[in-house]
Amino acid sequence: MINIDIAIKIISISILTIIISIVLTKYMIKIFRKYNVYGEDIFKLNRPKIPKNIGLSFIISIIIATTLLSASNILSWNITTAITTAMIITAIIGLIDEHLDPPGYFKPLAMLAAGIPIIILKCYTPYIRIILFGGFNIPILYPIFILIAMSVTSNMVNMLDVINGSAVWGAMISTIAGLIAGIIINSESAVVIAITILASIIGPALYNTYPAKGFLGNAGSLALGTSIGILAIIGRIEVPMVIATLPFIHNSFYFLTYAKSFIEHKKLNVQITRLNQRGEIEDAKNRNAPITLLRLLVAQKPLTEKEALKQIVTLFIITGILSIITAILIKVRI
Amino acid sequence: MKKPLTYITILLIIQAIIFLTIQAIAFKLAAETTIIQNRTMDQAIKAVIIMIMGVIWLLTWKKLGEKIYQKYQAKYP
Repeated sequence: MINIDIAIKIISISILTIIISIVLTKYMIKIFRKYNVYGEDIFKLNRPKIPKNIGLSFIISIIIATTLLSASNILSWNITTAITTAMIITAIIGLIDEHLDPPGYFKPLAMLAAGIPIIILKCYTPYIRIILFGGFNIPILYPIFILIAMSVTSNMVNMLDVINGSAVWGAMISTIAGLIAGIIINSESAVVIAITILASIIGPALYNTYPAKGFLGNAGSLALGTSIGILAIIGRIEVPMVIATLPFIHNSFYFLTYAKSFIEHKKLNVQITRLNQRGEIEDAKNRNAPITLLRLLVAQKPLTEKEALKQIVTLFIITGILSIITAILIKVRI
Repeated sequence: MKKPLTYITILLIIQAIIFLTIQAIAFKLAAETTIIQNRTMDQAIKAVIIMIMGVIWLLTWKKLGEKIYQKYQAKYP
């Protein structure tokens, strides 16, 4: 288990990472504003132009943090290399998707590649821990599971990046749940990776939360999902992380069952939710639109963006608690 | 009428319970049973069983979510 010396090193690196994350995010907002890299905030009456791609600060911060942890002999070189490579792959895919506008299947297909470093560097244990009964060894299927998991986690976070702060808060609360699950299950790697993710996420969280001063961009939101996948696989907390991320899964599932193919929100040509004259988000009442999480939340009455964010956060807190209960049940054997 | 948040919370709790139950049953069955001696085929069959369980889980999810939405649609046509 983690001793005091290692704990001090982890805390020091985390504090440094938080500072790097905040400074980098602030700097990126300035840079992207200067070079007109904007996105339109559609859920504001005046539709302000907000600098996008600030999620890149998360990617850089997590790479710096894992490198420092590796240099301090806290994370092994292969885990560090796997995380770094997966993050770089995600950043490239996110930026391609953002600027070259590839077809809808590009992201889910390309994001499979983020799992390859984990498989090649053997940063996994092909044993899924389940509640009450122990677990199940699946050496042949597990690598396939890794590829799918990385694509699913990254894309599901990306798909819930619909209002200010929804993706970043969802990822943050899921990671906190993962951290506690890691402590319960005695997974040292889960604890270290979760702390690293949380420290790196602070900057984007500060500036992307309502009212957003910067958008994550596809690279940022995909990277948040990649980090959740990494935490689940390397941290060996797959089942608790599925439970923690249920609101993400819910949203993507309803979107995909409607679209019946991998397609971007903007290319769907169907309005799901809209802004009313009072500046509230309301259901577009379109029969052909998918019942996304946000649409379901505003089904009864229109909500302000802040209220909608609060409700999404509430859902993540509830599933986070369920995830912790799951981790406790994993410890129990019958 | 309760807020959608309440129903979504209930839906997610139900889905979490179904997921854990199905998984525990599927994994327990698969772990204690060797369907055929060929290891690769054995794992493939087990994967199919798990996938079927997963499909049931997702179908339940879809139906419940649609029901919740229809509840509000009926009220606000």
